[in-house]
Amino acid sequence: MLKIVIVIFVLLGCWKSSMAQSLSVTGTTWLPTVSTVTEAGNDYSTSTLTSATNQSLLSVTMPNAFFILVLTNNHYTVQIKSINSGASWSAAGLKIYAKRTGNGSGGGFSLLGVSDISGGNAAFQELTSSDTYFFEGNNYGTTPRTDIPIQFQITGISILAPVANYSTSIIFTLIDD
Amino acid sequence: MASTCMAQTTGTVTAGVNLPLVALLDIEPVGGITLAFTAPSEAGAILGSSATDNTKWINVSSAVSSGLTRRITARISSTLPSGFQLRVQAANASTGAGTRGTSSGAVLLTNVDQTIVNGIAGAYTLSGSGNGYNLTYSLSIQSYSLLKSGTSTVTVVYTLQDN
Repeated sequence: MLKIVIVIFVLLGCWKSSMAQSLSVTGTTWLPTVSTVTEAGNDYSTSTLTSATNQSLLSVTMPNAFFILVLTNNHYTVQIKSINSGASWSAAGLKIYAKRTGNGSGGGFSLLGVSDISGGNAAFQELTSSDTYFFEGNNYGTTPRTDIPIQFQITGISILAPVANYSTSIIFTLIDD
Repeated sequence: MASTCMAQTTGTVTAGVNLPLVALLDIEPVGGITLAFTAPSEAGAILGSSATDNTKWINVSSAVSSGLTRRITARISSTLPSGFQLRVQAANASTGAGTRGTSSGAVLLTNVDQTIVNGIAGAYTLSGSGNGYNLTYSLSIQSYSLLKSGTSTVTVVYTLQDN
């Protein structure tokens, strides 16, 4: 009997995790313009470029819960990294950061609790080429948490940096854990 | 259990910035300078060895592609009165930041561009009088036999150009 129960829970866990949890992003491009130097002798007026607070909006949908799990929370973690291309950001002294500026909405609830979200909103977080914890949350059922606003920032803007196009791909990874 | 069955999905945002070429130069403070010789008070005395001025400064903002450098050149765009020579020397810049190049020392000005500072890359000197490259003009007599009394206006043109 114990073996049967274990097998059921193993299958339940795998079935739950194999369901299509998804992370979607809107606002997928941020290409700010630097200020124009109008007076000889000056650097750019600002060394930091900051996007709108809702530059990108993330939505997180977790797998459908089954049986009793419909009542329990489904925890997720969102990781973040940036993969640079073209001119070297590090050689130019450029860095890119991200911050979660709001909670979005939705995520569901049950008799046992209400969805939540935490992390990533205290300060701008420098992005590297390695997946790094960004924020986490709990959804209930299949109700997605939508419109989680993300803000970006680039620092190190200077005419001392080599003239070039600097580009990066910011990759969010949703982990059903 | 969860770790063996963990799944994930990703979303991507593209971000970036274009840093453009910048090449700005100006002279501070605005206005001209006067280089004058005083007449000798004693018959037979010389007019004077030279007249100098160091009140002018060149301010520069320069953003370049990796590996590119620039130079500042100077030339006379009008005719220098006969019998005179005009030299200019730019001191190395100590204000601002970046690769601000090296002075060529005192340069005899002609109607052809002469390099007075070379090796400028990404740099800014700060703006205004007292910042950047301090210019010292020196007007000297080349030939007494060609001198004529009077006043002449000479324009010196400075250019920040790519190497």
